[in-house]
Amino acid sequence: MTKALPCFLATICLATLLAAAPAQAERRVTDQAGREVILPDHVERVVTLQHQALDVLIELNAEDKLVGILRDWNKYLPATIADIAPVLSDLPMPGDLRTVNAESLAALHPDVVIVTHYMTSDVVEQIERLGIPVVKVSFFTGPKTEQAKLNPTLDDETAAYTDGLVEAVKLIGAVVGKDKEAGELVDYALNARALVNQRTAHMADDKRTTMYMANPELATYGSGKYTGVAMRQAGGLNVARGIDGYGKVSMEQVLQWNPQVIVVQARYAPVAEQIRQDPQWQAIDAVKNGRIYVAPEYVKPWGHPLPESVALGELWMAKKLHPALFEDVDMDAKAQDFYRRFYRKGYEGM
Amino acid sequence: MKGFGTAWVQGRATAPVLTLAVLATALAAGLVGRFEVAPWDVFRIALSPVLPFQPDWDPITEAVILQVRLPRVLAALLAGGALALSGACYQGIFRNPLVSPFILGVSSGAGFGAALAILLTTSAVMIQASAFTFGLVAVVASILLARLYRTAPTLILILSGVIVGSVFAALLALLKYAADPDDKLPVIEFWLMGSLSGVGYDDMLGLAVCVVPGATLLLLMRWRLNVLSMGAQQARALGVDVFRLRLVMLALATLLAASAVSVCGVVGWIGLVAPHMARLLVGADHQRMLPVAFALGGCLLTVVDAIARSLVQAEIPLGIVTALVGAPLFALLLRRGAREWA
Amino acid sequence: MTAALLAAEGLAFRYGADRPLLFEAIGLTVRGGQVLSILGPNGVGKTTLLQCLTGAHRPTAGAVHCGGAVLGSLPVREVARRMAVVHQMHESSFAYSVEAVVLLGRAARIGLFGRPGAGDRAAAAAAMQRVGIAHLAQRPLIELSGGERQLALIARALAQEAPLLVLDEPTSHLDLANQGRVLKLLRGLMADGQGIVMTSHFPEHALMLGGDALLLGRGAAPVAGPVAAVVTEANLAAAYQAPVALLRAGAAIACAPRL
Repeated sequence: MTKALPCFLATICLATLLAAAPAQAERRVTDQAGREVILPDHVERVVTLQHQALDVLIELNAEDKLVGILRDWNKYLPATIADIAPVLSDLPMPGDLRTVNAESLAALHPDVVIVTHYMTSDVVEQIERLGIPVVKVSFFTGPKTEQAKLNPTLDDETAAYTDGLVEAVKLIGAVVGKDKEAGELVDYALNARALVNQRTAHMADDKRTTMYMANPELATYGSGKYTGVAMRQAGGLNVARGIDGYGKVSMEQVLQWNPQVIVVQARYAPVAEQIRQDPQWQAIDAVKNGRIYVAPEYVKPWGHPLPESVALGELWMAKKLHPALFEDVDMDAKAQDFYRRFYRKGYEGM
Repeated sequence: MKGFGTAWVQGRATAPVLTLAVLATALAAGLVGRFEVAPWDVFRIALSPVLPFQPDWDPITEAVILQVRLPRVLAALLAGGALALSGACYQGIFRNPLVSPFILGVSSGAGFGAALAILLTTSAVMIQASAFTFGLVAVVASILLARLYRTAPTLILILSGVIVGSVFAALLALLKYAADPDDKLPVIEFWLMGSLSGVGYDDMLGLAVCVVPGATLLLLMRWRLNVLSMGAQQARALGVDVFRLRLVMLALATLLAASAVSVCGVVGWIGLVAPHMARLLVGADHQRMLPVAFALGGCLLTVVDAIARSLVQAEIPLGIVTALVGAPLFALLLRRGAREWA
Repeated sequence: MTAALLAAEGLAFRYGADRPLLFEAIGLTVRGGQVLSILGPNGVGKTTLLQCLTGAHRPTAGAVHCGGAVLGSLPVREVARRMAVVHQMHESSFAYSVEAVVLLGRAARIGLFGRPGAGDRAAAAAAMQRVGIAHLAQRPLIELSGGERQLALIARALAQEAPLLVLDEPTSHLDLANQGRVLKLLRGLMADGQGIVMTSHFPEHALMLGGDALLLGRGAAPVAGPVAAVVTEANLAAAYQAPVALLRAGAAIACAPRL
């Protein structure tokens, strides 16, 4: 075996070189892990194993280029996505966020595979050995050492996630040749952010509304995640900012924080009713004053941001926190506008 | 008393029969996969580095065969063989055919090591190294703990293994608790369930570096395992330095198990079932049975891996398939082979 | 006078610093062609003494010499070439064939990376032949009767080709017929020059074999010497602290408790 190995390797190198010899022209992009990736000039077949990238691809009107998606896409994205992009239901699923069946992937003959930044190196290398370029996205920027981390330590969360979102959208746009659409999407989101910022940025910490993001089983998001960024943008303050990243808290801790507003993500909507009924929660300000809000599906105030989170979500949150300040904003109209433009379908949620 | 079909496996026929079985299994596994390749093409591509075949296949097909399937089959042969050999060795030393190679905690330690690395990095090399290291640490801890008792019979050693295994399992649970259920936790869970996906030549070489010398030494010493399996008192009276020999064999067996687990995750049953099947085929004499166990373990894991990567579009974790296949197989073997052990 | 295969003087043993001495000031010599029977009631220390003689335990006081060298200074391998031990109990979890078990006796002559060669197989075959179980060679040991198993273990010890044979209660679990077989075998081995040390529950077996005896007693001093002098009703009664009758019927001898 060891004697044949150099022969193996030599032949593979030769074969790969021959394969890589451009039948079409090539270009290079730098992905969000700082890797330089060589892509064919025209990318027609895309596999995405990252759910946020999938959402962005749809927003960039590139879903026809999809030949493969990640396995649990309908768990990660709101249910309406299947209506918005019906093609998804029939697409093969050669892998998920963390693993890939190399042969299933190879059988799809993709031009590029988009993966998450924490995909392990052996999987990435295996895909590359098949001659398929891999683009890593993270949806945040930060020092290289934090890139792979579970709960990154970020000096400026807002900048990290905003720049990260912009970078990711532009990168995905560049990969599929939708640079114009990507630019439009980014501008739309940043304009909405600016609108909100104008009215909330100056608020001092003690004037801000305290907020708690309620996930099931007393889990919540602390610092280093986009959730806190969204809250801050909206003029609020994350009571859980002392926690590093995603974590579970105790009921006592929540009572101690006594948030003024509780937000529940659309995907966990039943939690809101649970909290309203639960005697342990009754003492909290947010429950007493009826300020428990289930976020509409476009808010997606998760660990990482999506374009619609910035374009619509922060606006929604700001309006909920300071209705008087944002009286002139018609959320419905805004939602319809965004959905029509980027999902090519009206908004049918709450 | 031997089991079925042993006439042609006995005596000098054993080595060629084993080699043939291994080659046949490897070839069969090479023909199977989600990427459609004609059997004749598989054969030609696999031999193309050494034989002058005209390359009339496309590069991605060649990459699938030479970069994905071939290293995976080789790694499965090595890892499966290592697990089987390790299991057989542990069974001989502990004088109990129901012992698995994980009894001293190597799988709990490796699981903890892998989870730790997964939380801190995405480098596959680091994950493997961490799994390997902590696998060894767990076993060393078990042995040292047992040495605290001046008489250290094998029972104390097993109990120490249980203790150390529990400690690492608890630490692992702690790590899992800290992991983000949206990103790192599934990675940890998947690793724990075992998989050979993503295995390349460098993984296989790393495995070979540990397994080949370790397995060779163990196979050379296999007759002495018969002596050891008589128990410390008798082995000593027969002229064997029990303490030293046990230590050496334990060390080698643990090295094999740790390297296998670090590459393919926690894959159970192979280390338990393959030695049993070997005993059924050629009898309990380790002189004959150990090479058979090695070959059988490799073939078993190769078959299981072929199923795991081909049955459905996604990858089924190896540990699930080995459990679903191994447990009933083991039950069947127990019925047939009740005579092979007292 | 041939050189002593085994010699001990001033042997004493206790299990722990706070425990009483099990025995003390024991001395003995065994030569080729001789048998030494160690007799006494349960718990008096026969097996422990045997373990001191084979090196399994280190004596609290005194020294054991095997073939001229101090036992503690010899490597285990060398001891096995001079002394072959047949233990009382044998339990194996694996179904080795009788031949495979007998071959284990060659361990002291096979290297770390070696395996039995033609010479080893011949020695094993000869041992099985001597003991009379050659026809059982391929049977699994666990399927044999108690007596046959004992003979197989003796064959294993013979395969070691050591001048001294040490047996721990070789007849204790055997029926009358098998007891006879083993005793006849031991007598034959003695005639061939084998040195034998054995512990036994049956003083009459010691008498049948002849040679020397060492009688350990409860609360009585050990008695050593030619077996006929040691095994008397008076000595036995003192050692066992119970009346014992010694009965003879021709060549057959029996000891029975006097109720």
